[in-house]
Amino acid sequence: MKTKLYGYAGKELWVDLTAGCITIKEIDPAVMRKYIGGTGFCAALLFTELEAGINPLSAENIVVFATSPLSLNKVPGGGSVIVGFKSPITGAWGEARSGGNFGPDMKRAGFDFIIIKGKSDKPVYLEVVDGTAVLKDAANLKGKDVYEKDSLMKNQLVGGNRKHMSAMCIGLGGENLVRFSSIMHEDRAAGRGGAGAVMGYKNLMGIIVSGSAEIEAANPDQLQKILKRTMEIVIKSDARQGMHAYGTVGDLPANDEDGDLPTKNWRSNSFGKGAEIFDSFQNNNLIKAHPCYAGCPIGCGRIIEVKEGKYKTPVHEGGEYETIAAFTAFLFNDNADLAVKCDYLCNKYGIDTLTTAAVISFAMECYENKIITEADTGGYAFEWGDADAILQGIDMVVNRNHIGDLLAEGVKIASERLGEETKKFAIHVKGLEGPAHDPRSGKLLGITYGTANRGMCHIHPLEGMAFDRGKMDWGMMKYGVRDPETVDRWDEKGKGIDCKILQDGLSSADVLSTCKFMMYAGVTIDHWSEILSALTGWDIDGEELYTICERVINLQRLFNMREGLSRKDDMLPERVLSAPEFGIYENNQDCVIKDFNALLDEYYKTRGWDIETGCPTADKQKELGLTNILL
Amino acid sequence: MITVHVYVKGYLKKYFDRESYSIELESKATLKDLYEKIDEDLGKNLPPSVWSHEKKSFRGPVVVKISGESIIDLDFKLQDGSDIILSRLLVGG
Ligand code: SF4
Repeated sequence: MKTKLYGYAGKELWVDLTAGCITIKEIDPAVMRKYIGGTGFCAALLFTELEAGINPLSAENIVVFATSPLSLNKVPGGGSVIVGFKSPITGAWGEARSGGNFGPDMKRAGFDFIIIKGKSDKPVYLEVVDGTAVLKDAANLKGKDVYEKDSLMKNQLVGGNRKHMSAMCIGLGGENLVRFSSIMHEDRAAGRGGAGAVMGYKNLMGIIVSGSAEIEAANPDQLQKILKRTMEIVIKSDARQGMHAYGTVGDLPANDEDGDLPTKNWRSNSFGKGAEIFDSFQNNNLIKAHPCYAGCPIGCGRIIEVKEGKYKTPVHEGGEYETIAAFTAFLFNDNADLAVKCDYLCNKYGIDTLTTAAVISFAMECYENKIITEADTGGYAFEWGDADAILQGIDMVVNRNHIGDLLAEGVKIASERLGEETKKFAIHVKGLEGPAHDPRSGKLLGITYGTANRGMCHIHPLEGMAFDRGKMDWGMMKYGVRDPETVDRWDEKGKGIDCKILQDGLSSADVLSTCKFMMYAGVTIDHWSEILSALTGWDIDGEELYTICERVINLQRLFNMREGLSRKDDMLPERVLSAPEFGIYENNQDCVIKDFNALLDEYYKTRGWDIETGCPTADKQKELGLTNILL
Repeated sequence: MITVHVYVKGYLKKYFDRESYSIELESKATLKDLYEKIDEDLGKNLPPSVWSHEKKSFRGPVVVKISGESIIDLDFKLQDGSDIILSRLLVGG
């Protein structure tokens, strides 16, 4: 007799778009115990189901929507869903998180995981209601923007629970196979790595989930107690006060001053206008704070608009630090209204805000160096900070017009096609363009950018800047990380060790499909393990959860190794290792990463990876139970 | 007159020359009056990344806790002997 699996909905939904066939499977308790859910489940599934070397934009790729036992509105950060896939922009491991109610509503609809395979010969969308699922014709969704697709799917929903329905969909970016298209959940995005393009290739326009299933906890009383305790910790934390009052964009002035704001395609690490842009945003664009899912105790989201003028923009949720920083500093633009408009357009078209700003800044540098001209840009002068160039750049990318067709491939491919001289302008790791934090403000960020499995991403290195400058430890000192108060941000030695411990510990939020900001507000890996234990009835402590996270990071790494990546793909672009060209840190040698190879050696040794190749050794694989992935 | 004790914590410490200050204010002083005083006495050393000279208040996510409670109301009346903690965290995003 099967033992009941508490905390889970208990089912996987497999959708084969080629055959038009839907299968429901029971989840495997052994796999859950080993990988939990979220990025853990995605890693196990993608590693075992995908052939090495497949084209990410082909029917062979798989998109996984993954929750965990913690994907409940009452859990701090539980309003999240993880999307796993092979990334069309890196050709390697792809994952993205979206906040919002989709994750909890997917479980209410009866499924912990949705796995999409194959390719439909016509546009379809998936409707998942109360334990059943159907593929529906999406002819009327095709060509529509994200907001239109979202409301069409909701209006067409048959049955379900209208209080608990959530949709995720692609925009024109995904339909046009822009390699950095996102999957949107209203104004929230599973943004990085191009999952939207994978869905677009598959002709899957969206997914709507709805239902009323209740998830049973193994120990409801214990769960209630630990949830009450962690909620109190979050609510009383300084981080919660700060993020609620100012959002993530509140860090813009300090990041600028500290050299943590990549500017003009990373030629500098400070813009000098962060305070001014922030004031303008607060005074003119901000309407109110907003939680991305019902129940979030922090509410870092912002409801924003541009009321009038050239950049008039409807009320929407946005204005995150990364987006505002990218559409200002990356492009040498000091107009917050313009950045808000770009934010809205990227959401509407379903493209990643960070990569979009990055490809336009790459194009601006190519234009400055006369590598591209107005003949390539539809007649627009792609000068730094030029509003028309920025807005037209977005349009060209989404519609693959003019230079936009090349930029839609991302900076790595664009640079390969434009020639060797553009290589130094292409700021990426493993093909993923850099976000809006700069390792020339603290060296831990450098090693995390190099080694994060999805490339130069903004989630897995967050801990770099917050450790080196913000002096946060997230309760990880007991796992061996140094006291940040004793660490100088410019030092390199020891950061490879800190990086490994922080990556393993803080990826617990991804494995559990929760929001990492809860960890900034005081929820530790030990708290997560207590919540997980109360939900599932498993006896998992922080140490074991930490090992599970280490297993997942190693499995993602093995996925990348199998795709042909190696040590060389962990290197940072030369510009990011060098002193800033201008700004308050101009030629400052403290900013220079002096021996990145030594940092990598230290990191590999700590991880138990081969120094030459960067591959987890056989011993390490054995230790983590990775010689047989699913057992 | 009243005296309040201001403690500077976390990331904000790097902008102040000391970690605590005792500040004298009028007896009916509010949080706004404290900010006026900070602007007058310490403001010139505070960079625009944390302090708005026009608004005479902190810029960005500075948390003000008075006797353990987080306060945002500028009209909040200060008491003689109040402990006021100023802190700022960096969270990324
Ligand atoms: S802290 Fe922000 S991103 Fe995280 S769940 Fe809450 S609103 Fe969403």
